[in-house]
Amino acid sequence: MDWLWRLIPITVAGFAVAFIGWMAQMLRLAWLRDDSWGFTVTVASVVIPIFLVFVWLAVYVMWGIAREGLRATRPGEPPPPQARPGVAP
Amino acid sequence: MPTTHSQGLGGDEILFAPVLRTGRGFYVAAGILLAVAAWGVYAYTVQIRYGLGVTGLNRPVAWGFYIVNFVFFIGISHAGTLISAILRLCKAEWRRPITRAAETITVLVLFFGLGSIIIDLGRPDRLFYVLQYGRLQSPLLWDVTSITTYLTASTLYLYLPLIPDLALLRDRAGGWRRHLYTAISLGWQGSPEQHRRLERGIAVMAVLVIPIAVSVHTVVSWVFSMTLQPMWQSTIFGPYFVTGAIFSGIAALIISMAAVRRAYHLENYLKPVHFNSLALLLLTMSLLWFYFTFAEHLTAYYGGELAEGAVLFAKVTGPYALEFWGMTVLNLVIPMAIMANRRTRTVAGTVVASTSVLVGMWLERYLIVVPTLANPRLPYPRGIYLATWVEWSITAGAFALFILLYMVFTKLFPIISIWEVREGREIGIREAHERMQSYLPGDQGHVPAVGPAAALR
Repeated sequence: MDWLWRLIPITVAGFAVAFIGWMAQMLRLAWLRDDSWGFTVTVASVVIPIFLVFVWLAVYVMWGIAREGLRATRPGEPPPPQARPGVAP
Repeated sequence: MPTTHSQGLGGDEILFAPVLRTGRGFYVAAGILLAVAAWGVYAYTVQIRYGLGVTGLNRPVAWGFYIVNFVFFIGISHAGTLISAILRLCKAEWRRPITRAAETITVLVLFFGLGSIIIDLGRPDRLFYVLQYGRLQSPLLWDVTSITTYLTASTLYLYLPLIPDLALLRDRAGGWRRHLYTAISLGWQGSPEQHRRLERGIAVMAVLVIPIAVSVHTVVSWVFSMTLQPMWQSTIFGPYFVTGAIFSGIAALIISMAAVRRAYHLENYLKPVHFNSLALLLLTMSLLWFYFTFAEHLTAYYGGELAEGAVLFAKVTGPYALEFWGMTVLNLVIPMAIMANRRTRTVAGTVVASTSVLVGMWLERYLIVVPTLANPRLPYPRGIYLATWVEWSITAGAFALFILLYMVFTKLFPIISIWEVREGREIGIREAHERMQSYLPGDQGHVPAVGPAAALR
């Protein structure tokens, strides 16, 4: 079942990349048709960085948490260090 | 599976009870809501089969209930993420038991906002044209972009603080639930490294989600205000819509909190002080909403422009007068009467006021959309709009389905963030006391510790 941990980070990153791809397609259409180029660039320049943050979130936060969890449950690995209050016993 | 971080929950075990046990009342309520939702789905199949002709939409009133619902649902979505993010960034400690409920409303209701647009299309297959041949000069496509961004951000913002609680559930549940929680808890063990990454992610999202939320309802308002239609083309529509959204969002949050408090016996977590704080926010937003409404209508009246006057008087003294004055009473008079008085600012009082606000804000959205279209600026004949049973049924179905999904969420996930409540007890009190010390002048050593903080010294 360990592989399931990777499902959510991959889904989030995949969706974010797909949305960025759609934005790139909008830019391409606007360029090819010479139509509403200014609006498209403006919207894309706001939205693409936000979705890059989502990619970072999937890779650094979610994947990172999952990797830590996998490491802790591997046979022979020492138990994780004492967690901070709020979740520790 | 290690269970270290799920031990020692003490009294907080009650927060797992709704997830691990389900009473008969839940099934009865779910059955009723499912029946209403099924009726709404049937009405939608009728609309798909016969087209938009089965609705009351016509020329010139091409937008009706569906667009009203769209604006209303998107407004409700501000319940959560915005309120939760602002309170989190302000380190408002009373936020801890309410953030999850707020964030859940946001995510669920956004689907209904998007769904309303698809229903309004008449032919849902046309949605793919937007993806294939979209043209970002249209404010409608700005809406598609901003709502998709907001939905993604809100879902992530709901999910991240859920991870530690999912791990707690993973260690308690059996059967298919255990597999589910194992998959989505990302192997959470509560190690310092996992905490560091999680808190960084939550902090980034809390900052990011606020401008996204504000932009979403601003863009929704631009769908109207970028046109030359009377009483739509207004520079204050952006902040007016955002204010109305937060207003209705707080009302929805109060009602949902009261419902789970009563249904799951969470009186020890959702205390009168939480309702009192939200009631004061609601009161503030009520006054702010009135200020914008007054400014918007006064300028239309004083300007004396004929087309604007036709819409204004249709609202104030014409065919929409009942809705207009009803809206004013529901959004201002009733909330003021209840919220401004400490004796009536009880849990029950805030629920009554919030229900009043939700109905009033739906009417407000109706009054923005319909009267303007019925009294167009261009020389078209004036129109009337009467919603048909199809629109009423789809609207009722959408609301029923939203409540049902919210109920199902409370059966799958803790509606109160367990680890954040515990963190509040163990760290929050000390941090709040230290903050107090840093605010006050003089020697910090002379500030007396009181209450629980004294015990932490």
